[in-house]
Amino acid sequence: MRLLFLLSALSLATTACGGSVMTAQRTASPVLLGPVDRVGGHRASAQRSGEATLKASTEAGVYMHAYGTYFMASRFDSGSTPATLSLLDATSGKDDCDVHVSNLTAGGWVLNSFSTTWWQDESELRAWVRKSGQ
Amino acid sequence: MIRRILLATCAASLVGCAGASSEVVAPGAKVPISLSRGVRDADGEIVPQSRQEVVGRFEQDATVWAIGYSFAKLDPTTDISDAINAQVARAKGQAVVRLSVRSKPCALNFVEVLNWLPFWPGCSNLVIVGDIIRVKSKPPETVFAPLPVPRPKADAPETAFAPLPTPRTRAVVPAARPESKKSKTPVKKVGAR
Repeated sequence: MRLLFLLSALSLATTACGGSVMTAQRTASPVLLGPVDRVGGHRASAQRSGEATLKASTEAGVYMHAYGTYFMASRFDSGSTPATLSLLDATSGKDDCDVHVSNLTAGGWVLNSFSTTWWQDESELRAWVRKSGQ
Repeated sequence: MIRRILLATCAASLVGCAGASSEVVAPGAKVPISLSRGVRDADGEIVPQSRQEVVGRFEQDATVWAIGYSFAKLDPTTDISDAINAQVARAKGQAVVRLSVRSKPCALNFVEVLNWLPFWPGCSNLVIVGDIIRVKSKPPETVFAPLPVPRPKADAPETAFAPLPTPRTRAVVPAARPESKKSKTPVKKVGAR
């Protein structure tokens, strides 16, 4: 019971920080989530020029508890850099393309046994690219 | 001893799992939502940073749930359209840029023993934030007007241009050679006494 309490306390401490972030703030092209692609309410056509799938912003960690000793290790990936780089690749660094998000999934899960707890938070973004003006 | 090992193996094989994920969508948004800093104005041009005026902050929290070791999603989609429209209208903005989606672990997922059970709920906290902006109007382009050229009046007599005086050229006088000096001393005649 003490072990359970201690693990719960540890988990609460873990949840206080961390998490994965999906963003693309360094990308010059618009990365659009909704159907409106311009200020004023213009809606883009569905003509696609290319497709890209990005999986980024993963935070994962593991803590092992055995023989009454707790070890904790975390792996933090930088929030926006992988997504930004992939988007820059997808748009070739130009700003004449619009990136339309077709799927943005975020979440996390925990897998644990008696000796180990593994948790992971991840975000996945699937997008397609359209040349501006099409 | 063997019994203890078997018991430990069985205990180690008891693996619990919990969690949740959700797809963030905004099909009913009336303004452009961008995960990057880029957004296009009504003319289709990228709005530079200098024309983006941040008028508010969009914030939306959501907790998504799942059961059955996170396979059965109770919140498969998280629609932020209404929140976007309401908060943008309140801030009198025109677009949302720099949107970020953060997923944070949920404490319920970490409760051991109970998350061995398939009906133990798992969850995940989503925090969605962004900047609400208003697009400033373009600065007026600076047009350099041509300088006014004085036009001659139609009934004005033609101006007679007098010929320019030819410049006088000064005759170059060669420098006079210095005359040979005549000795004013009397010439002493040889032999004269």
